[in-house]
This record gives sequence, C-alpha cells and structure tokens, in this order.
Amino acid sequence: MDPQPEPVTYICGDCGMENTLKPGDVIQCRECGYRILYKKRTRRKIDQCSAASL
Amino acid sequence: MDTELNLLVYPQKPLLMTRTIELVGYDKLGAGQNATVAVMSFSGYDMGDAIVMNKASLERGFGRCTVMRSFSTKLQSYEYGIQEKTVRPCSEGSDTKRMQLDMDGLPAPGEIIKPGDIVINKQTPKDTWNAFGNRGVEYKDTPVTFNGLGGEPSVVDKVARFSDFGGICGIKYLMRQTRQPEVGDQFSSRHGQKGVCGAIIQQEDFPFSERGICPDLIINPHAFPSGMTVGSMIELLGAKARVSVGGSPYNGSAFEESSGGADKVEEICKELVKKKFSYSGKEFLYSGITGSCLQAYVFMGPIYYQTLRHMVMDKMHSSYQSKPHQLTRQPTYRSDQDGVRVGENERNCLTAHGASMVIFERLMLSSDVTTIEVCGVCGSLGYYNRRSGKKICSSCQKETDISTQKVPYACKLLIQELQSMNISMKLKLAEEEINDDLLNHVAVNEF
Amino acid sequence: MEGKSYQRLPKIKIREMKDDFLKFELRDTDASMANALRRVMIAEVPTIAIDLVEIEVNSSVLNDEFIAHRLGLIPLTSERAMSMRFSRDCDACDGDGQCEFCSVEFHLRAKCMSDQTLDVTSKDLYTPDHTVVPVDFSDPAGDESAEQRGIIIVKLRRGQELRLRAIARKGIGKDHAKWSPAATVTFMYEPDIRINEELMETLTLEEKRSWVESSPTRVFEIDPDTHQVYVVDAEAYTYDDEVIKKAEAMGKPGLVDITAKEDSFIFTVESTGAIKASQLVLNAIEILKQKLDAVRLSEDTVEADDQFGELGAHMRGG
Repeated sequence: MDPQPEPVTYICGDCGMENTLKPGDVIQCRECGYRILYKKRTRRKIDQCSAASL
Repeated sequence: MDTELNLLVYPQKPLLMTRTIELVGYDKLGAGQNATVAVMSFSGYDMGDAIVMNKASLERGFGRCTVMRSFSTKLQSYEYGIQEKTVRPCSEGSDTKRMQLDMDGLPAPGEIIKPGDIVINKQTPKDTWNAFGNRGVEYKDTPVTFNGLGGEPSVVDKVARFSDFGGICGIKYLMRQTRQPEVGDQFSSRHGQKGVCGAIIQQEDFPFSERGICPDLIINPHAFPSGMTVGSMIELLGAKARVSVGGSPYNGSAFEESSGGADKVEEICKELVKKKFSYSGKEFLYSGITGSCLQAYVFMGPIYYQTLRHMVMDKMHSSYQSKPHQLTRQPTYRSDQDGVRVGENERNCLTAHGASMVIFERLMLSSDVTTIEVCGVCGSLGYYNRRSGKKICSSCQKETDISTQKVPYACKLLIQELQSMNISMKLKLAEEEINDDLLNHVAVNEF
Repeated sequence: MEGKSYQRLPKIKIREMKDDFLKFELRDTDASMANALRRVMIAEVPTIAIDLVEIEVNSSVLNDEFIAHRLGLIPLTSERAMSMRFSRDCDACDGDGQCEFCSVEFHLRAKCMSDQTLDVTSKDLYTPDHTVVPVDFSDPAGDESAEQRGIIIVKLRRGQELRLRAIARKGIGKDHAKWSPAATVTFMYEPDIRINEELMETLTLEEKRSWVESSPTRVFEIDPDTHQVYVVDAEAYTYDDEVIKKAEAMGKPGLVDITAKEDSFIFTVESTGAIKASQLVLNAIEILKQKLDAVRLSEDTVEADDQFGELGAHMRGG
C-alpha cells in the first residue's frame, strides 16, 4: 500500500461534524467535545460477488 | 455498539395472525418469512426434524441473514504519558498483504477483511519506565488480527475511536457478514417446530404442482406426532387461504374458535375450495426427478419460518491436538481450537460394541495417561528419586517393593485429593494372572 | 446387433402464446422426455445476469452485499446469451472475465438531491450495449404504473448516494437461481375422463347436481335441457379424486373413470422476461440436443462402456 498523504477523517458521534486526526491527537470532537468518533467509509472500490453469500 | 446482532435480510409479515401477535406488534417488525412448506418425506435427509431446502429459494433470499459482531481493543497507557499507539501500515514486508488499513492503522468501513488479516496495526512501548515521556521510547509491533466470523471473510461495518477523561483510548469495530443458509443451520416455525437444514436440493429436483408451485422447504410428517403441534397445520391452512383469497389475515388465536375470536378451520377450508384448492389443503404433486406423479397427496402451504441464530459456521470446529487442561491434563473441548469430546454417550456406544481397546485408547492413551509408583507393601503412592536412582515409598519412608503403573492422571489426582482430606486410598497390586490352561484350551479349540 | 427401435416422433401444439407466457401440448412421448425438457428450461438455458459489483460509493441504508444480491436478481434481456461465451472458458480475456465476448458492463450513479425519497430502479442501470438491458415490464399502452418505474434496487434520502460498476456474465440456473430464465415451468398429464352413462342415468337431477359440485374445479356440467352430465373442461381436473370419493359416498362406485394419459402433457411456461417464453422452449430443446450429441460422440470409443455402462451398449443396439 502506498503512503497516502491525506490524514484520516472521522465523524463525531454526537454532532456529525467531520474531524481530521493526526497520530497523537486527542480523540475528541473539535466542535462539541464528544469523545466518540466514527470512521468514514472507505474510498477504495469494493468488489462484491453477487452470487457468493458474502 | 451491540456485541452481537442478527438481522434477516428480507423479513415478511406473517400470513396468519393471532391476537397476541397483533398486540405485540409482531406484524410491524417481522422476524421470519412465509415459506411454502410441503409435508412429505424427501431424500432421507429429513430424518429427525431435519428440513430439506430448495436451493433456488435460498439464492433468491430465503433465510438470508446479516450477522454483526463487535470487538474492542484498549490502547494501554503507562506512566509519564507513554501509551500504546496505532501506526500506519507497513508498505513492504510479508505483512503488507494482510493489512487493508488507512494511515491511522485501522480499516475503514466497507473494507473486506479475510481471516488472519490485521485489523489494528498496534505498537506497544518496549520500555514503560522511561522518565523522558514519549520521546526516545522504542516500540514493538503488537498487531491485532481478526479471525473472521466463523472463519470466513467479513466486512467492516463501523469503526469508532473513543477516549475517556483519564486519557485511556480505545477502538471498537463492528464486523458484518451476510450469510445464505447452509446445511446445519437451524430454522423454526412459530410452533417450536425447530430443525436443522439437512440438505439443499436443486429446484428442478424438487416436487412441483401442476399450477407450477414448488415448495421452499420440505418437512417430514413424523415431526407432527412428536411435536404435537396442531397449530402448525392450522397455520398452514389459514395462510394458504389468505394467500389465495387475499384481504385481511385469518385469526389463528388458540382456543378462541367457539367464542368467535378466531376463524374456524371449516370456514378456512371452504375458502380453499372456492379457490380451486383441495378442501384438506393437500395437493397433487409431481416428482421433479422423474416427472411422474407422487403416490400420495401432499399437505402443502405457507408456514411462517424463522432463521435461528445457531449457525454451523460459528460452531463447527475440529483439531488434532490441543492444549490440555491444566489441572486434569485431559484434552479440552470448549473452544474453537479444541477437538471433539468422546462423551458419556459415545463411551456407552463403544461399550455396547465391545470395543474395549478403543475405549482404552481414547480415554487413557490419547487423553491423560501418566505413570505412578505404587508401593507393594502399603499400597500408597511412592516416587522415583532420579538422583539416587531409588524408588521410595513416601508412606513407608524407605525403599520398598515398588512397581510402576499406568493410570489416567485424573485417577492420580483423585488419590491425592482424597489424601488431602485425610482419606488414604490404597492400591492392592497383584501379578497379572495368565492362565496357561485357558490359553491352551482356546488354542486347541481354534484349530 | 439388431434391436427394436424405440424412436417416437413427439408433436407440439401451441395453445396460447404471449411474450412471457406459453401454453402448449406435448404428445407422443413419455414422462422422461417431458421432464427433461422442464428441467433444462429451469436449470440449463443460459441467460445474462449481474455477477460482479464494484462499489465506489454507497451511503444508502442497504449494505454492499445486499445491493449486490439485489442487482444479481434483476432479469436482463438475454437473447444474446446462447451465442455468448461463459467467462470461465473465454480465451479472449486473460481469466478476469471482463472482455466484450463474455461480459457486459453496467454503471449506476444515483444521488438524492431533494427532500423527496429517490427510488433507484433497474432503469438507472446504464450500459452502452443495447442488446443487454434490464427487462422492461411496462406496457406500451399503459400509463404510470408501478411496473413502469422498473425494479426498485434501493431508496435514497437526501444526501445519500450510490455509485457502482457491475459486470454481467452468462450463466445457467444450476449455478445460481439468478440465471434461471424460468419463472414457472410445469406440466400436467392430460386426464382421460369417462363417465359411466348407464350408471349416471340412475341418479336423480339433485344427486347429479351435488356430484358435479363436489369437484373443486369446474370439470363437469349438466345439460339444462337433457339433464345429462358431460365433461366441459377435462384439464380443469386436478387429480383430486373428489368426484370419485363422492361417487363412492353416494353408493355408486365406478360412476366415473379417470386416468392420466401417459403420453400427452400440457405445459405451462412463464418466463422472467430475460428471453421470450417461446424462445425458452426452443433453447431448451437445443440444449437437450447438445447434451445428447455429447453422449453420441463417445458412442464408438472404448471408454463409452466405462462411461455409460449398459446405456452405451443400449445406444449401439439402437
């Protein structure tokens, strides 16, 4: 995997605000201070086989 | 995040309602599907409450479910602000293929994770007493791997990072898998008429009616006398009439026919006849394999079926060697990496077969065999002193006539546990008696 | 090796034909032939269906696997399927099964921009190939009906988006039900109904009426003038035995004799729309012939005996 320059974005579990975190950052929403952040969906293309159960 | 979640992919409203179901609102949150059931014997894979399923039905979405399970990892923190951390995945080396991770060392939702892949690329500090804080601390890789849900690839559904006020950080992730029913999965009607899927058979092999109806599943008629589920049959009739007549569902509440609270079977059957079905709910079927008519009329119609959460994928396991139990030194059988237990029933079967050597091998040699030293004078346990090369009886406190015996470790344990309770158990040893006369007698008879 | 010839010349008579419905009679053959035809129609006539889905963006409420499964079940027009290659034995592409000879590419891009729920349907699937498109159920004369909107894949709310690329491939129903072109394929034996007129005349009109009404389907009728019972629609009989049981209950066993003709069948074929029902039958016959050819090709070889045993000897005997 090639190193991607962009930092990873998270979504606040309370206000829905997008947060970008760098390594070592405190896990907390910058807007509301909520301490649970969810990751955004992958930007990679996902191959799904329609016949398989997965 | 829920630790476990099982969702049906295509839930339906039940075709036959009862008053309680309406009160509970079950029709608004369905947990099953209306399967067209044929009550007949088919293929022999329907023994003992097992059901035979139509492959095409399964492929079209019948019984399909989504399983989600959440996992969590805490990032340990030590003094002076030293903490475990997640780091960007390595771009070279043997582990690269096992990491479908972002720069934060975590996978993103939507990513497919194979069993054995790394989900959290974690590092732990080697030295946690470094007073200079995070600077200059060396880390070692302690990645978290994912074993798959039932050993199959899964999709990341959600990833959350959290921190508490003490600065402890953690990661929770929810894994998802969509499963099509397979042989061994469990299904049940609403009457507790449960059974495992015994076989999945191609649609063209399934029986069909001249209207073109082909059942979704087949249950064995023997399930009725043993389960005593008359309601199951009433449901079939009521649901069949509902499907053909339309309108609001029939009321199948139990014991309410006389008070008018439920529809009577006779009334339902009359509706069936109006829609050109047989009065009894039975149908004339053709064999899908030969094309000839089946010799009997088959009771067929819709029954509401639920996909239960007991799936073989989560339960099936096998092993050729596992770590023995610490205390008893016997093999374990509880976890995924353990083997299959030869239990009481299996032992009884072997006894009935007279397979004494198999019992000896399974319960002793392949289990917890140990050697003990037994004193021929007092019968208590002794020991072998390797340094002096002497066998000493701990009770007699001297070198006696000691013999070496093979026993299960559990037996030795029992002797010692009893001893600790002030009960002394003695083993009386005797020379193995080989009756030469008997041996000769057998030999003579043989020839 | 001289042998008796068992050759028969089956006949087909078409009764009713629509694009997705066909009713025909198959005569002068036996159940094995009729059933083989039925089985091939369900499981071995090839069609094209979406097999691989590459999801770019999916912020809908349904997960990726769910959408992929739904896409797979959408019937696509598959007239081309018979001449197409299976991607597993396509040598034009190097095994990825994504070349023009063995696959068709679809694109779907949908985003809801308004406050109204957006239905993403099979009509949103875009492909440059006009021969393979999602089946259109709309009636050219009909107005805005539910069917006209296509098959709903997912519903989107404001801000939600679905973007994907799908690869459709040729396949057969045996491998997955999504490739089966048959919605319903069934047959029945033609019933042979003989009323014992003598015995029937011993009944009163009232008795006749109750006997005629005992059949759940309308098979018999009473002539209003002569009061004679006659067969109106033999095929409406569902082999339910109700009339026979009724006759016995009335104390007149043998009032009617019903047997199934063993050499004539009435087929009902309904197609999913992937191919026309008539084409489905023709393709099935074609595939059946190909399968028999495969057997015949190895007829003279030594292996034939190993492979087919007694069947091989039987074939050589004629």
